[in-house]
Amino acid sequence: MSLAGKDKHSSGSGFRRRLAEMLELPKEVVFNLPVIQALGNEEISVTNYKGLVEYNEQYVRISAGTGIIQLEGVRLILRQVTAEHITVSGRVKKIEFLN
Amino acid sequence: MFLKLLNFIRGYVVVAVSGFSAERFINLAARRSIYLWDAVRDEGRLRISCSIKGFKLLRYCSKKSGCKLRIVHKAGLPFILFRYKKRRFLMLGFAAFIGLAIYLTSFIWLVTVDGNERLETKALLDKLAEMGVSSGNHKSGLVLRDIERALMAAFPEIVWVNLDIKGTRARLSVVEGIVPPRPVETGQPCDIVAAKDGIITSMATELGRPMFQPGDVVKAGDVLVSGEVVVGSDEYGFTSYFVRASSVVLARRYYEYNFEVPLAYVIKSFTGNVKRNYGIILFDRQLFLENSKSPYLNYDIVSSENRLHFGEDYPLPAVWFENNYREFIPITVRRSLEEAKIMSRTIVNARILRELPVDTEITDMEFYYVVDKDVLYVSAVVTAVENIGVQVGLGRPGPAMNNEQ
Repeated sequence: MSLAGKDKHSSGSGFRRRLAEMLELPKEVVFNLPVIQALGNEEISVTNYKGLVEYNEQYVRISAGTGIIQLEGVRLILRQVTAEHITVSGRVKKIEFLN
Repeated sequence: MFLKLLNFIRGYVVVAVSGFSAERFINLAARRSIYLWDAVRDEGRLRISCSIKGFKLLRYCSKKSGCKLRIVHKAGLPFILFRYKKRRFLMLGFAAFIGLAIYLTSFIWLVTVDGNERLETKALLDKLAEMGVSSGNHKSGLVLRDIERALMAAFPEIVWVNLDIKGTRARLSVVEGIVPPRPVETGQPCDIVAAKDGIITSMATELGRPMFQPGDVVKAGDVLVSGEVVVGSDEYGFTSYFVRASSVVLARRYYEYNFEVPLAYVIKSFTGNVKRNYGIILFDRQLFLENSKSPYLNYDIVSSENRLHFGEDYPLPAVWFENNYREFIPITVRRSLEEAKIMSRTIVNARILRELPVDTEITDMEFYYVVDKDVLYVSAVVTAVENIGVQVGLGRPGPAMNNEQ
């Protein structure tokens, strides 16, 4: 992941970043970042996602502000799907950020 | 748990999504804020749950994403209700059942009284029934506090009362106190009047003018001690003043008891044969489940009752009872004359205890017997000495003391 901000999945320009840090604004709102919550290895909840890219029992790919979040596991199911967040449960082995 | 219950009440549909991109279908649905849950990949197809409302919107998503939708399972209350919608009479019966249950539980079916020791339960129940608290009465419109107050007024023995209607049971709890003696009307002049006939044996007069002497025969209603005390007389008449007469007037009285003691009597020898008979009392009607006739010629009935309850607070107007017919063989036994005479004394003593005032002194008892074939005729004369005087107001107005002027 690039830190310079040239990439389209980056977290915004240097000025916006400094401003957000100065004003202590919530970054997920300012930079449109996903919030990933993990309950052990059995439930991963992604808030502020863009869309579901792929879903099967082994892989769940979710596109978000930073790129694609790939979850790898066994017998994964989509526990909840709403416009704001998506909850995946099962036995999760890996959480990867793909760009 | 809670979410599952909510989903059940609102109803949901499990659909199978098949086609090129089920993910695209999910994204479209999520964008349209259709709530989806429990998505499972199942041999290439996707099985997913959504609400009934959401399902109607899913049609559009399936068309746009080129996926096929198939309903796998409908679950939840709306579908169950829909299934019974056509069975109109079942629903009607169900509604009638609930309505009837509500209607019937708005009555009082059982009234219980507790806490009374000297007051009779029946007297309390009668008074309650008078005010609308009885089996079969509607419980609405009863002002319990007013009824309590009325009970307190009707029974001065009650010092605390609580009436509570819970379900179909009305429970009256009372606490009895000791009735304070009626306040003595001091100052009000009165006579001592004979309550019964008798021969005076002694008079101990504290206040008042005695009208009789020991040895005199008096009749009920005679004034024994007058409250009018004469203090002087002249040509114009008497001068007197009135007092509250107070005297203990003992008189001898005779009581005669005539009765018979059978010399032959029957005892029951139970054979051990018992026939059970069950039945139910609905309201006040007895319904036997079997023939209520006894198979035996001579029998005793021992019955037990059990009120039917619908939970603790909902007694029903039905009592389950069991009658036991116990067969016996009557055996005639004879008692001797001596035994019969002893028995006659016991009977007389029991009647004296029951019928005569407590402070009565028994001075003599005489027995006269006539023996018949199977019966001993007894005539007992009891001589008793008792207080026959009662205070009776003069019935005429007047100052407590004197009218000298």
